[in-house]
Amino acid sequence: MIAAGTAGPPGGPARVGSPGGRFGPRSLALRRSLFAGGLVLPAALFCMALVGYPLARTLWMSVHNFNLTRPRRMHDFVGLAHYASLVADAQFWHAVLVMVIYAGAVTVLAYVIGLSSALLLDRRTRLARAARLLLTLPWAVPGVVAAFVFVWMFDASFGVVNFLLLRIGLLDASMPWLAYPSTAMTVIVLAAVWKTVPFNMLTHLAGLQAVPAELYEAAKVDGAGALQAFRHVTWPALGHVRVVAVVLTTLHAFREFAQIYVISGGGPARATETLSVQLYIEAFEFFRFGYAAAIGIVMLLISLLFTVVTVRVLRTDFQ
Amino acid sequence: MPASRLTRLLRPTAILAVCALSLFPLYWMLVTAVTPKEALLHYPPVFLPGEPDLSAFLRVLVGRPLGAWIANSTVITLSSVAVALVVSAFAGYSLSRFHSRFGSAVAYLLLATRMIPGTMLMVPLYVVFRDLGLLDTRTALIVSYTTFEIPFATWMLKGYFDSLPRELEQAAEVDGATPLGAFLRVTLPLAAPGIAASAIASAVLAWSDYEFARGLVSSPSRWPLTVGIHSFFGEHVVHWNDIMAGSLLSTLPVIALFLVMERYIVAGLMAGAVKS
Repeated sequence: MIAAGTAGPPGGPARVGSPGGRFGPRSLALRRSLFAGGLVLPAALFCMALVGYPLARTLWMSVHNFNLTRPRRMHDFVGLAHYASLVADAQFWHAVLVMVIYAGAVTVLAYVIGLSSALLLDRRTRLARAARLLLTLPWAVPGVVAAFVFVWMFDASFGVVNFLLLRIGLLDASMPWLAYPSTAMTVIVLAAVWKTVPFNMLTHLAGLQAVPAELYEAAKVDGAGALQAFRHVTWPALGHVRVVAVVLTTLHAFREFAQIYVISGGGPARATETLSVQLYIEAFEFFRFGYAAAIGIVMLLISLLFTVVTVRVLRTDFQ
Repeated sequence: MPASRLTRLLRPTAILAVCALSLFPLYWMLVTAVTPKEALLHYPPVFLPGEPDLSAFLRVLVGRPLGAWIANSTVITLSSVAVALVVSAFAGYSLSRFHSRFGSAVAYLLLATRMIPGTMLMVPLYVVFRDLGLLDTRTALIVSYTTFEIPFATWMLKGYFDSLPRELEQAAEVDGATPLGAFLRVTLPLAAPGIAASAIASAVLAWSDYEFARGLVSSPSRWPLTVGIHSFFGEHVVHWNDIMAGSLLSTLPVIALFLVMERYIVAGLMAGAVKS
């Protein structure tokens, strides 16, 4: 416990609170801020050591050869060569596109379903309360475990989804879901949506409960119907919640690796390979760490750019 | 507007339908885990198992190293959560009570680290752990998980401390307690629900991880549960009831903890998301 070192002064506890004691108000303020700083110091150090340093190291690796299978040439400076080959690689652009499609589909679906569920459950009934608890459960399921279940449900021969779709006549023959790009994408999107709806629902429920009831009263007095009340009261009032939910859901989808890797392995034929999956394969299957680091930096830049733009756009939109 | 009987029935029906859809994958996990293997490879699938067949649980726990993987996951999760919570409780308290430039810089740093993709962080961490000789150890996982639990738990705890009145610790200080003493003896015990909720939410992060464990640990005896269960997929015949039994065992503890602490976890997760 590092923080303990900055704590109690040797002067004894009784003098701390008394204004007329040995310490003037100035040194008291100084000691308080030292105490405050000491308490956050371990967290700050952890972050610097395990996030700040690796980040700098990633940047450094991205301009060096750093292929673990060629240890002798590993530390050769290569400048922007990795970035140049990234830009020239059609598979990289494909992965960017797949990432955007995947994240876009996940965010839109999770948002719409999350908001609709929140509107449904925004009641103080026992059913709504129980349903809130049940609808949050997918959040607690480990992502790869969700992936296992979805692979099994969408199994080509014995999957329950094929069975149900055949039974109601939406399919004529069993669908090998993971064998085609678009259907494989459908499965990985659905698995991610299932996991992220709870977060979207909970944030919006909390947002809905924060809307003052007088606003609805006023809308009613003005003769607004349910749809108009939603458009002019609910939707604008959820502006802040919307920014948070959309940004966090999309960032989460940008970085998703485990579910995609387990369900489709990035296939068929690399068709569902997002940047995150590509980075992982480059690093941990081909040991091209320098190249993987360059992909990581690009991913980080995309995430930053997306966050800044979204916060701007969605914020001005609701003002 | 007049609520007709139809619309009054519409909402409960819709709620039940959404619940059924959302819970179906969990139900299917359970059904598959207690259905004999022969019945799984049959049309039509079994929707209501007659007599539950628990042989899959016995098989994975006795015939496969599932017990060792559960132990690994438990040790790794508990260790990382313990370290993360000590660090985060101090940091969260400081960010809640004292507003300094250093404090808010750290707060934003912590928030920014949550934006960094995990797969990207793994690339340099792999090299660091390799240089330290920590590859293929559970320690590497504990350290990695602690890193991404701290930012998360710190913000969650800050939110909880914000909801506790300052007056009590001020009174304690007037009575002669040091600031640290007031925090440890007065505020910390009051924050127990918030700490428990942050612990569970952090534990979910560690318990659910797949990518760090798969990249950093190669010996099957040191795998956590997630990577272990995934190894069942590589076998000649995929035993879905075994996989679902293992999945169920990895899901149940999380769900049980979640149900007990639901109110605080949800409040903690929402802190910062709803307040501007």
